[in-house]
Amino acid sequence: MTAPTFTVDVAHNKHLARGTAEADAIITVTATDADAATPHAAVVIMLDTSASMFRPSKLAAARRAACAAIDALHDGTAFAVVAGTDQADMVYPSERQLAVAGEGTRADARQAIEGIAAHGGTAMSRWLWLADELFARSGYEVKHGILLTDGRNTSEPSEDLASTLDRLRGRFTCTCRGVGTDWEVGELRQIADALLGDVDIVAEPAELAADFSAIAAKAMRKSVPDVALRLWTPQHSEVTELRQVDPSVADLTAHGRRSQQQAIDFPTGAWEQETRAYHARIAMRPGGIGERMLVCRASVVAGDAQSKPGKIVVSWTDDYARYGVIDPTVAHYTGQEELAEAIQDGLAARREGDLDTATGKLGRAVALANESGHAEASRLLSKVVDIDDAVTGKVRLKQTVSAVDEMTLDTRSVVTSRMRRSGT
Amino acid sequence: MAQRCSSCTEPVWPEDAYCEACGQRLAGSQVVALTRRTPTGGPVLVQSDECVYCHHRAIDDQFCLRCGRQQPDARDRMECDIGSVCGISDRGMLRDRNADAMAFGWAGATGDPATVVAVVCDGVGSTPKSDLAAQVAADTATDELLRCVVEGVAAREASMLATAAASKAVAGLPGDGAPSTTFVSAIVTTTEVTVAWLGDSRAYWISADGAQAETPVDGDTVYGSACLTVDHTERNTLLNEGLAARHTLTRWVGADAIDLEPQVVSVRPAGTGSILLCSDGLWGYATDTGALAAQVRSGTSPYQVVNRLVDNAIKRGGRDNITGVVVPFPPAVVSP
Repeated sequence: MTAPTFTVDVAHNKHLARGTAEADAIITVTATDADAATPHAAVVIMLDTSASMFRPSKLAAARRAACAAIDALHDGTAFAVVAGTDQADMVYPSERQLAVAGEGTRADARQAIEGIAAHGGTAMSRWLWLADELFARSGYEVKHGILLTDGRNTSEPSEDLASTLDRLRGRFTCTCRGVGTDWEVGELRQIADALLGDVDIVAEPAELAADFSAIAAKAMRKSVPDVALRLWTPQHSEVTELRQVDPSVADLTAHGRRSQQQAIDFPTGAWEQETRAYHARIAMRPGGIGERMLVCRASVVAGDAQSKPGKIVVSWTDDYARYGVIDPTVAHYTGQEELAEAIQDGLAARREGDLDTATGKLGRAVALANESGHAEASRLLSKVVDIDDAVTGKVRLKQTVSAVDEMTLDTRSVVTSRMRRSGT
Repeated sequence: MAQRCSSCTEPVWPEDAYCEACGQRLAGSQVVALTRRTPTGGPVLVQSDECVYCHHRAIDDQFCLRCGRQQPDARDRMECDIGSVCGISDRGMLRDRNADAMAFGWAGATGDPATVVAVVCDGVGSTPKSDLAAQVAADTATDELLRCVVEGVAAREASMLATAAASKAVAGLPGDGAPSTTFVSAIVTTTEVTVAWLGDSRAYWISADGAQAETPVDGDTVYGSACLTVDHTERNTLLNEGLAARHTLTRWVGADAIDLEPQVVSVRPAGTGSILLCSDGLWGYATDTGALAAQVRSGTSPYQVVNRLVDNAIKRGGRDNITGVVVPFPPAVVSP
């Protein structure tokens, strides 16, 4: 297995106004030369089998989706299927351990999946604990969970899920899928954020199988486990915020662990050949006019290897022509973060009946999506608001909005558009 | 048998050290000249592995790995005063590094007036290693000018030899990207000032009497303060053709230079005063020659004069690197 090469590029505002004690930088990390296949992946599929899944189309779709995921696994991949209710039970294999994908185990798994029945409540932290136990026993490096639910986490207090996520943070990655419209976007986002995964809505149960097959294939491509972004900062400075901003917005600030006296490591999970971007905000003691300071060295740590660092050097000036220049990459991604926040805040205000705030926030979102050329966000927003002027963000709330459209917009609010590089 | 002076072609005798007509030192004369010049390579930064601010012992590529601060570069502020000539070069307020360079020196026998040579170069910002190009050009030209003075080569020929040597040295720098620089040199004797230039670094004659004059032509006697050079920029070239003005260089020193021929002008000052060589970071804040001359006259020593000029440019924004070299005229007598 060839180790991939990580390259780190930084973009930031190089000149700060006198006395400025904060700097923003976009750190773009690209992994190249990664091996396509890895023999070290383990996948645990957690299917919601609570009573609400009983509607035949849903349970049947979930069964088909689990089978599609298993079919997509390469031989040698470790896997298990868990049935989630107010407890967590093994579907396949029957013992609390992982099976190794092969012709026989796949057939046995399919048979076991056919036997799933719907009953009971929903306590997701139990499902996650069982998955963690299975991963821990296997010793596999790339650990990927797939969680499917159709409803809310009603069979346990919300604190139980929160404390579970605190303890499982970073132990495996988890892709979350909500089927139908009775589940809670915030709940699955909480899980995905803690476990470095993503959330999406699958409105039509029939679409689940293709989605699961794609998730499994993507998990197969992850060849580098446990990659961390290491941020060095000088004395009297600290990283106050770190957010992934590409391909989606995810706040990683709370994931940081001090690895060296002046460095914090932020786990980013497993990588394939891909590019991700992060927005770091650094607070520092301002330097004098004309002084230059290295305020951050950003590198990628994977196993024993550390990439060449990207360096963020700033200077302070009284010249507006210099400090007034906003780096286009920083402007783009801070705009994308604001877009995600405006959508989420706008939808929350709408749910609470605060229509003025909802109109303002969603209008701002329309303007930001338009400005950054985020066509998908514009399309999803147009199902929730009538747009009078996309440039200024003049909108009217639609009288009736389908639950699917609202949840789709909410779920995908975090997906960002990539910075378009101009011709150089 | 009468020989002829290499400068003015008047007859001279073998035992003459100088031409009686023009003051040119004669080749082959037996007088041993003392020479002095600025250190080659400019100021050398003492490489320390300890941060000058917090004394942490880990520096990575100029930055301290504890406090993050950039370690000072000796090129940020260069000052050199060798009596008969004084120069200051400053990074300014906005540039990340100082790509200006200066070098100067004098030659002469004890009890005689020295002949002063000075060079100012402004590394062209759009090319990499332009600071190195500027310093190499200034050093090489100064060495060549001093050699010519000692050997009695005429000022005009010396100027041509010096720019040619500078061009060759810059073109021979390792690496790609054609580092390049502007160039202005002066040879100052007791009677004559010879300037040579490529680009927009300038030479001024500042008259002690406060009078002002037009830009003189080659061979003129100058009575009042005047800029002796005409910038090699598209602004000047194209204005003649009636086109839009742009401040883009048309001549410079570097491997990619199109026109390597320097422009050379010799003038004879009518009275006492100073010669100022400077980069555009200095004259850019003093475009009016009268105001510039007044500033120069208000100083009591070459150091004070050049320090005030550089300070003025810094106070007014210091957008570019700032370099000024002042040579009092006539040059000082060499003390034993």
